[in-house]
Amino acid sequence: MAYIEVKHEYKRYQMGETEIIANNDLSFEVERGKLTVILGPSGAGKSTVLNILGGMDSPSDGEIIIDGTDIGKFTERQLTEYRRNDVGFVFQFYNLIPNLTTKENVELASAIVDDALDPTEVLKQVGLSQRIDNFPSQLSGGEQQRVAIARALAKNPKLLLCDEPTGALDYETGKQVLTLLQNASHKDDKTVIIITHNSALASMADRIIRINDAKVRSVEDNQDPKPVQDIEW
Amino acid sequence: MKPLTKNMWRDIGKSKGRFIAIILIIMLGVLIFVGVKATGPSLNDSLNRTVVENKLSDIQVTSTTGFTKSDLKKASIKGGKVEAVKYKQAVGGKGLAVSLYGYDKNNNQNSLIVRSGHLPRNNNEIILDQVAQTKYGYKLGQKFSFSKNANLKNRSYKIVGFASSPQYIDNESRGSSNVGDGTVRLFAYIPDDQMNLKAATQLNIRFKNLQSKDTFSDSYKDAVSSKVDILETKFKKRADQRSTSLYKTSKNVLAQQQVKLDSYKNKLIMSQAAGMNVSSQLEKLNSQQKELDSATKELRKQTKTSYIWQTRADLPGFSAYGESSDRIAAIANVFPVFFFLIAALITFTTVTRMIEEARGQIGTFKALGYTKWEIAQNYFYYALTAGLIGTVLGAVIGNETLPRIVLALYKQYIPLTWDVKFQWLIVLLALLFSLISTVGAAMIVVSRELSEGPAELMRPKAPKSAKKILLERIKPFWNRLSFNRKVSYRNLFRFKSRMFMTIIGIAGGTALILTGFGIQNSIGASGSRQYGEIFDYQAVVKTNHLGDTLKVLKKDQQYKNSAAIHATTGKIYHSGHQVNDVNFYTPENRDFSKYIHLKDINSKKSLNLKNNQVILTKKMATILDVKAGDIIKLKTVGKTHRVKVSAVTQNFVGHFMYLNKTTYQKLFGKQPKSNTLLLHLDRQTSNQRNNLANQLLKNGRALGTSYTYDQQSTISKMTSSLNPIILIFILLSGILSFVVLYNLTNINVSERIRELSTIKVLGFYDKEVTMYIVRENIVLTILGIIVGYGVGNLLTAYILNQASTALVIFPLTIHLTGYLVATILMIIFTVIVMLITHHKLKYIDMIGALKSSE
Repeated sequence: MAYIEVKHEYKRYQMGETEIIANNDLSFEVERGKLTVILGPSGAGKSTVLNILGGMDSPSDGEIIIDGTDIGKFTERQLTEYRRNDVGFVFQFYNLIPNLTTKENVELASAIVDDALDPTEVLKQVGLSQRIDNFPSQLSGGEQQRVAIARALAKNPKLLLCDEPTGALDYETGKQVLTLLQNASHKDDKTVIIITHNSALASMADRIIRINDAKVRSVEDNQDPKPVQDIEW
Repeated sequence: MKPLTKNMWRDIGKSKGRFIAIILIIMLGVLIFVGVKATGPSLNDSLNRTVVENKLSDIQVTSTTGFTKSDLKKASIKGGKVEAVKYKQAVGGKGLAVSLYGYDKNNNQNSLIVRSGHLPRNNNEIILDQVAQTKYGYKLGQKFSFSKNANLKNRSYKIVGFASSPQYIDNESRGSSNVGDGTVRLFAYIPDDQMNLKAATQLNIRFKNLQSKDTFSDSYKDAVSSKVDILETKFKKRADQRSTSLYKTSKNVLAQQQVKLDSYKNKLIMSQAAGMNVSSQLEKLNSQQKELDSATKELRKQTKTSYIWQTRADLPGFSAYGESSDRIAAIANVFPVFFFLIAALITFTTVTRMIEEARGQIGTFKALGYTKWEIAQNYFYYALTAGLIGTVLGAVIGNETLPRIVLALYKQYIPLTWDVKFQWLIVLLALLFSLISTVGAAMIVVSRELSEGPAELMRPKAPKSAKKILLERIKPFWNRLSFNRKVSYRNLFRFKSRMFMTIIGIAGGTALILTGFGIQNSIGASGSRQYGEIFDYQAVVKTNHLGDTLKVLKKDQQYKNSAAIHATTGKIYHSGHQVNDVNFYTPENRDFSKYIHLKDINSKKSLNLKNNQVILTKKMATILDVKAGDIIKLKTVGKTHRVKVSAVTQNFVGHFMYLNKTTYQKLFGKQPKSNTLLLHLDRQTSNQRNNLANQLLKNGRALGTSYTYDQQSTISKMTSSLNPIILIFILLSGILSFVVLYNLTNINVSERIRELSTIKVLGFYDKEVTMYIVRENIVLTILGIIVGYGVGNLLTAYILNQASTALVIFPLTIHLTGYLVATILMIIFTVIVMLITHHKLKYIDMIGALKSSE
């Protein structure tokens, strides 16, 4: 059985008089320990589904079965618990707390879970052991995003969700960050989902889900994902 | 409508909360500023109006022997109207001293305000003081009898009405009497001819052109005193003339007898010369001569005319009323200003935040090519609208309600005709301040933002570079803190301006509430400490004859013991200052220290009276700038003496100089003769108090008895007259601190929405998210409360200093209740704000917040 099963998921918003359908009958599966890329142009509804997978939002209809449990029926409290223990998030705009040092930003996450990883250790992994006592404003964009990844990883989550993680980064730094994410999946067996509009990233993934116009257009498995360093765009 | 203007209105629509918050804060500030400022004048205006409507006289003069028609003419000086009234004091009812007036239909001045029933129409009718009904339980239709020596046409009269009089505005005070127990309890009017007086004993004089003046103003007082001067000069020789003429008319009889006696005497002398024994006749003659002499003396005394001049300020309760409105004015100079200052600061912060939030928008407008003024004017109008609405609401509500509430609660005084004027000047001042804190703030911030280029503006403002805070350097402390606490402390110091604002807001609220209680407690304390710590006796009796007075006292059940002193009054001078009405107390023996405790103001040690030195009380020492060791000048009847001050003693009410008998002897060249007794008494009922005073007056040759109980209750009444205004202060201060805290928390949340969303996404529970923000509030609230205690004490001390009169010191006193109420209120507010914040944070749009690039 797949780790994540999305079955006939709908998300509708009421905007005044008109109803906007962000997700229209989405169904797909994500395998445990694999790297999945959700690909689509902006406005396709990919962020919406990611937010729902991450427990930040609830579907209007359908089932979101994660590890055998339908989180679509969760209460607010259960969703929070799910976010707290099972999910790590990485955003396009890092969202670090400006007033906390690198290490403290990671501690912020590790402080709330029981089987957290050692913050210093994780920062070493992402190559920031020299920047532990710096504040976000003293870091470059790539470094900030690596702190954000470290923060997500430190919680030791089962699922790592990344929303356009390289959207605000230059080419080289983007690659560094993606390598980290690929390693998290291929080396540490995390289930990683990356959202992007950059189709070049498809080749790094085990599975590619294309979304357009609120619908899943294709799901395709990649038997031989390329290391990030070998991808060009 | 221009798109830019449209945008502004939609902005207001979207952030209604903030717009309303600004209006509310400004309104509160203006409300209390204008309201309290208007209260003092309204109290005075209302009294003035009541007094003018009822034609209260400006000057009253009483004569011991009555006034003639020519006196009336003499008294009518330019612009003044004179009316003659028959007036005397008599004992009536249940042994009450009554100020009795003859009612004359033709008289206009001091007209009665009939509360029930009607004015006397027949000979046997009386109209009584309203107080007779409320305090002493008299009813319409009952009989009211007077004692025999009241010497009226009838002994008893039928009560046909109850009334208030502009002469007696204070229900608690009717003046002092020379009959009964020494205190007038009621006034009453019976028909003029029932008074059984040949001539009017009182003249009322009223000046038309003075009626537009404020009775409590200096210009009125000066004008009246110059009129009194004119009248006094005119009547200067009149007293002697009148005495002599009365004496002459009555003397005729005595003179005839003297002639008879003289001729008889001559005969006797001739007989004696003729060798006859006339010694027994002569003896008889001599005793007759003695009788005649004493009758002459008595006549002299009875025909001795003296005048007592009184102005409105001398009427019972008048000065106290003026003082209480002065006190409110003194409070108004500090309290609301402070209040307003906080409101202005908070508005400033809010407006600043609003414009900073609109940064990107301003940048966009600029990029589109709008001029600075076009962009700025939207904020200008926004701020102007909020400021104007707030000011108008606050001014109208404050000016119209606060004075009326206070007037309605001034139950101690007769019902006044309310006169609440709109205080334009104060409202304008408030408007100016409001606009500075709204429009001013907006313009400063907008011009700062506008000076940046559009590209810069559209990029997010560079976050304030975080840095390590001082606390982190104290490693043992910092390392022991939990992670969450570290975060809180960092945040506290990151947003310094908001930190200070919150502390100022909370401290301000706490301080204002504390001040409310402090003013009340301190005014009360002047009485309770004077009559507890310092004056440790229950009554003072002035007497002509110690022995007789003691005889009466010893028969009294509640009497324990007493100390005799010599009491007189005089003036004291030092370094160009002067204090009148100082009581000089010379105790008979050492027992005195059990009745009055003299304690050094600095060392708090008990003081002893030293030879050839005196002890002064604190307030007087302050006025005169005297300290221990200085030489003062003192003046009794005409003579000036010099003496050294050995110490200054703690004292709260009145001026006293203490000296021993040796010092007295040395200073005045004679032995002091004790004329006053300080009494220790057991607990008395009010009947027992009246009884004893009566007995002492009648059988103990006492001149008057005053109980500390009465003095204390006068002070506590003065305190309770301030209650309404204090309550309003406490209430409004509470609301203010609540609004401040709420507003600042809102700003805090909106400024850090991204941060909060992040931790929410990380999986912080709702409670943890709320605590992330609220923990800071708790620290700031605690700090604010502590600072507030300090500021509250300072503010109270300052107001007390402003409000203190020449006679009274208000010792800075704030009871535990004040601290408790202030603290509990602040805690409640913090909790309420926490709950609201909690509710809000539960529903924040975390996705939206995290997605945006700003």
